[in-house]
Amino acid sequence: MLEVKDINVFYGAVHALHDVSLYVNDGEIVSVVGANGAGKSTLMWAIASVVPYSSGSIEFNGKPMPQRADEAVKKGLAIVPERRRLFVSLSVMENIIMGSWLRGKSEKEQINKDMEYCFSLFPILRQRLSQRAGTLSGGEQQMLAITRALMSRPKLLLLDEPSLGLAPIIVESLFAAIQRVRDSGVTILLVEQNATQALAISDRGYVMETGRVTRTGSGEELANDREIRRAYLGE
Amino acid sequence: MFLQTLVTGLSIGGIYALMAVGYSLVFSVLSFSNFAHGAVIMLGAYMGLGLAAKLNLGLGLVLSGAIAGAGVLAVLNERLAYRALRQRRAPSLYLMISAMGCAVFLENMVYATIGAKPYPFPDKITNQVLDIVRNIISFLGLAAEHSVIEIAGITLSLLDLAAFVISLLSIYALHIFIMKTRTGIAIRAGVDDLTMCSLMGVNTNRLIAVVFFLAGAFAGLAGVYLGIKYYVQPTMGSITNKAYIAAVIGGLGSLPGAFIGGLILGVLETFVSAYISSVWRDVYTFTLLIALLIWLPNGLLGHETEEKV
Repeated sequence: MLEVKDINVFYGAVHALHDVSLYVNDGEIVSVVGANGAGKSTLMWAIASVVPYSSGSIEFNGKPMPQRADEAVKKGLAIVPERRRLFVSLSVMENIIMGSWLRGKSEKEQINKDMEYCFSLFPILRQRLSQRAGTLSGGEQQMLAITRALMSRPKLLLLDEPSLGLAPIIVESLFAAIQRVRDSGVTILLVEQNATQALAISDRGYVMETGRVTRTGSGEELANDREIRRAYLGE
Repeated sequence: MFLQTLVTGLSIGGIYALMAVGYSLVFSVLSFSNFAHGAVIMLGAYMGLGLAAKLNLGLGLVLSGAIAGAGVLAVLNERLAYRALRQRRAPSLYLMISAMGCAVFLENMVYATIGAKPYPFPDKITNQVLDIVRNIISFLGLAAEHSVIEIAGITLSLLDLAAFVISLLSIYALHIFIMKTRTGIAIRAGVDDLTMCSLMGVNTNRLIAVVFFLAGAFAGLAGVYLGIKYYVQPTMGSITNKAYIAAVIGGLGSLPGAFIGGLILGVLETFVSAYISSVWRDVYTFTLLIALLIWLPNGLLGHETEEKV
């Protein structure tokens, strides 16, 4: 579904990504783990066509990823960025409306069904519809960010640090919801510092260090790798 | 005298508000002060004048033509002078400098092509405005003389009254548009986070064009009013300095703020002129601006200003 080949990204003189390659197959959960500053988020923004890359290629469903973010989204990509970046002054409902921006009036019935599906994942949102998104708790904001992304009916969902700053019990239910989303047919690329939990739900994983992919393998392999456990899992 | 001054101040403030809206709209989405707005107001006035004097059109067509024309001009202004800078992610300071350049460019284009001579709007248009206001007033059971109305000892110019009511209604209509419609929701989403807005599939170039069209439309409306009340001339855009101050007082980026800021400024100016001296008017105005920026840097209703990605 997604194939990133040897991309390089520069921020001015800073070489942020060095020949990064990865692929994601239909229906997989693939995670990218690594320390803070390894280039994980840059990779996400490059895939979403927000940050330009200077060389290499990104293909989505066998075709080059469009250069503009709004065009990339039309091809079936959605992103839940780090720190959520909700439309904080909009209500929860208005954020959901923005999520379904590309879908016409004819899809109204389906849009309502999708909204119900999201409420089944995150029941608390139903009680918050008219509340301003900026006043939600961290966990609720993350739930809304995922709902907003799902409302476009994406084929590929990019999740950047969804567990950041959340209580362990909320993280656990969030990861359970992510698995349910995958089971409903959405392919997921997950970036996490919280490597243990990310790898536990992933089919495959990549390890990034200072802008390079240094290891790759199945989620289980990486989770059990002694070196990785020492470096990223604090053992 | 107090009430008279207050009412006069409010009517001047209504016009400031009408012009301040344009600054606030653009600032809210792109975080820069579009100093070309005054030139768009001036050109809106010339377009209205052209339609009225050369094509001999009536008030309705003159207004619609000026509103649409100034709207399109503002869109072109963004397309030609700001978009390239935006796409290169230039700091908003550069956009502001480009805007100042556009203002000088447009003003001098008018000097060079039309000349510096001030033109009045044809009497026909002014009378049409007065007729409409008098009809509404008599419908409400009150009596108006030729161009003023007296209520409870207060004399009010019908033109000012019309301007105040139109400002109020048009700003309210804009507020409803922004709060209730799909495009309005997208504009507010863009104010929060333009990058995420594009990641919802919104074509942000088009969204920004809509914002500039709205700002330009308000400029066209204000331009026609200023032309009817005073004269149409290349320097008439300079009055927007006051409108800009009004937008800052209310909180740049906030529409209700632009409205309240306009009224406060209009009332303050009129009181200073009436009770102290008109010579001191601008001294007070700018003192208010500086004092407000020190104590309330985000204005009365503005949000925390934060650099956007």
